[in-house]
Parts: sequence; C-alpha cells; structure tokens
Amino acid sequence: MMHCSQKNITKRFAISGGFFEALSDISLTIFKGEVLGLLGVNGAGKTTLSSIIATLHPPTEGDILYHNRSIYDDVYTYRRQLGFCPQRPNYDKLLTVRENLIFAGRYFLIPEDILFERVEELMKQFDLERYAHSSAIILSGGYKQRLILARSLIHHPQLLILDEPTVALDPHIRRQLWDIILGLKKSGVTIILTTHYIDEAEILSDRVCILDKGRIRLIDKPANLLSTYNKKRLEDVFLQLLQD
Amino acid sequence: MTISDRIKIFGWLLWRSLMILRQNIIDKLIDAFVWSTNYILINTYIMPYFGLNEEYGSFIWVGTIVTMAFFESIYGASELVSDFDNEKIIEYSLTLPLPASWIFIKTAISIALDSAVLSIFLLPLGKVLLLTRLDLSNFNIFKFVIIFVLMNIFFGFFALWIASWARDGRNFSYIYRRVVNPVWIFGGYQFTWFVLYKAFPHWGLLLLLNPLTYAFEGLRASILGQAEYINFWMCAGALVAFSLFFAWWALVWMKKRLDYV
Repeated sequence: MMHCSQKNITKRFAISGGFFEALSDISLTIFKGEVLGLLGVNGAGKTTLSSIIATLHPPTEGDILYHNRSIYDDVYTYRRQLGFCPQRPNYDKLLTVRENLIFAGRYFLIPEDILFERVEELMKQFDLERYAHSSAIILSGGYKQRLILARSLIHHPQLLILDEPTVALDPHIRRQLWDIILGLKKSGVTIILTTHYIDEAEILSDRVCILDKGRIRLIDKPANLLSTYNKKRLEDVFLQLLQD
Repeated sequence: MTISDRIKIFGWLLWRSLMILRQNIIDKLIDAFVWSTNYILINTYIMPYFGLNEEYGSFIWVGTIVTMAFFESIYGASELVSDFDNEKIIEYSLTLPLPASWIFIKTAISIALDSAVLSIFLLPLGKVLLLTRLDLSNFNIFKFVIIFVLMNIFFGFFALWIASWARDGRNFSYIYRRVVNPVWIFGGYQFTWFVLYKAFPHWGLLLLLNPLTYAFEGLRASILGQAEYINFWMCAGALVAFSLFFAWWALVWMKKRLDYV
C-alpha cells in the first residue's frame, strides 16, 4: 500500500552567481510498513530529501503526497503523523531527559495521563531510565541518539525519518540502535533511513534508493541488486555504481 | 488543527522557555546585580564630584533598566545565531504542528520574558542603592507596566531581527559593534531627547527614528514624571509600531535564511 510519494521533487539553493541544484526531479514511492534506505556519498542529496519529506524545507518544485493528498494542503496534520530524527541531536540540553520527552509529547497534544505512561515506556525501551532526571547535557553520543529517537516516537508516528542515526557511534551502540529500528519496523512503522553505511542499509532496509548528485541512480530490494550486479555485498554494488 | 490546539502548543513552547530560564536565573540575576550596581553607584555617588547633577543617578538608574533589558535581548539573539550554526534546536520546533511564524513569535516573546525578568529586578535594587536620592513621587504604575511590557516585546522582535540578519557568530559581532551599540548609546542612555534636540535639532530629529529613544524616554516618563521627556503615549505608540515593523521584517528574513515551510 502506498504511504508517501514524492513527485518530481527539485531543490535549488541560491549560491553566488547562480543556483546549485541539490535534488533533480526526484520521484519516489514509499510503501506502508517498509524501511527505505537512502544511500549516497556526501552531497548526494540524502539529507536534503529527508528534510523536505520532514517538512523542514520546501521543495523548489514538485509535491509530496501522503495518502494521496498533497502534504502542503494541511502540513500540520501531516506533521502529527511524522517523526523526524535529525542528524544532529537537537534536544534541550538544559532540560532533563524526562522533561525533553514530556514537552515533545505536549507539542503533539497527548493528554497528560497517557503522556506520562508513554514517557516511562520510551525511557524503558531506550534504556534512558537511569538518566531520567539528569540534565540531558551529560548524555554520551549513543544516549543522545536514543533520546532524539525516543522523542521522535513519542506521538506514535506512522512515518519515521531517520537521518544518519548511527553516524559517529561506536559499533556496539550502532548494533543496539539497529535492534531498535528493526523493532519499530516489526511494529509497522514506515521508516526512511538515510545513511552512508552500506552494511546498515543492507541489514535494515526492505529497499534501497541510491542517490547520486541529486538524482536517483537506482531503487530496488538489496537482494535484487546483488543478483543484478552479481555481487556478494551491497557495498560492492555501490562502488561499481560510483565507478560507472 | 484548531486555533485552540495551536494556542496550546504555543503555550507549551513558552512554558519550556520559562523552564530553561529557571535553570539560569540565579547566575543571570548575579550578573544583573554586579553590572547595574557599578553603573548606578558611580553615577550617583562619584560623578556629582565631577560636576554632574545630583539627580543624574536616578536618571541613569532608569536608563540602566532599559539597557539591561536591551542587552539581555541581544544576548538572546546571539544564542539564536549560535543555535542556527550549531545544535539547530530551532529545526525541531519548525517540524512541530504549528506555523513557523508562531514559532518565531514565541521565540521573540521568550526573549522578551528573559529581558523582563532581569530588568524588573533593577527596580527594587535601584531603590536600595539610591536611598533618599530617588524621588518616586511621579511614579505611575499603570504607565510603567504598559511601557515595560511594550519595551520588552519590542526588544524581543528586535533581537529576532538581528538574529535573522547575522550570517554567523563572527558576523553577529560586527552587527553588535556597528548596529547594536550605536542604537543603544544614541538612544539616550546618558541624555534626554529634548536636551539633545535643543543643542542639535537635526540630530534630535534623526534620533526620532531610533526605537530606543522611545524606550528610554517612555520609561523615564512613567517613573520620573512626564515633564522633561517625549510624550508617554507617543513613546508607547512608537514602540508598538516598531515592534510590528521589526516582527514583519524578521519573519521575512528568517524565511529567507532558514528556508522553512
């Protein structure tokens, strides 16, 4: 079932003496309950595309349909269905971990009695309980990611955008976050996962979309890509595409 | 999303800002105490020996309230610029189910609340420091509340405008020296507009374009009496007009700068 689709998305940024086209005519459909891995080298347009889907920035051209309706017709209702976990942990450092989650829930108008239960549930799920009453400024890298992931899930979003969620994390913490993402997938959340770790995309994604210079090079299931290119690892497919 | 839903989210965002202010309030009050005490004591007890009027201390005290609020709001602008360059907490707010313009209005009001909390503290402090040298027989509480609120709201939007302008931290420091400081010092911290106008009429007329002139003159009119200052209601009206103008300008530039939906 179609969940969200991007129609001819183009994004241009003004630079001195003209424009830089970060995304060119991107059309892409995301199906309900799938994990779509967005892959590409630095500057390929992954973060630009995910931030447009997250409604952080508007496209220069094109539209995004959610349940067959333009999100720009009612962007606030769309945002209530959406969880966005950005690349940089942008939580309130002067609030405690618990307060960060409580305020996130309040912004989505979750009734207080349900909210407090949800906060406890998420703190347990993400192993944040021991830091509940600590100022969030003390969190280490892995726990920062856990906090913003927990925050993005507070309102039970149907569509979750994870922008480089495991960048610069230790391998064992990456694995822990993978387990969390796989758990979310099992619970039926549709996930857009931006990453430049090919192994991560291969393990977590139902389909991968490889972006290059703002265009979609290909989009398919990892297994299909391996057989089409006759490779054993997705990383080899990716490298061959770059050479081509 | 109904309007009451939006107001609720707006209220929670403001509440969050107050929680963050609570974390810093003691340090901020200590800063305000040290900084303002220096100015008030020197102008009240030392400068008269250099020929200044004895009442100059209370005149400067009112100016220090405005100055404290103004520079606290500029500090808020610097924090906003730093956020744009680093953590980008603002981006989280911009993905909430609330129009971006509401987010920025909330930001300006948060800055205004910070500056109001600190500057109101100088009111009793001034009384303690100035003792019998402070004549409050013309103090009008009604006018004071009006001008104090309007002044801080204006500072909030002015700070937002500065933040929308500054490309980064370095650029902010240029704006601070080239715009913020001249606007403050020529706003009338150390002089009244009428005295300046009598001495340099053209300069006086030019300073009617400076919004800080109305903050200084309006607050002095409400605390020290109307006699020597620009008409109180004109000051209040000018601050409303400048607030609307800078709010509009800040929103236009924020849209350009942050490219939000």
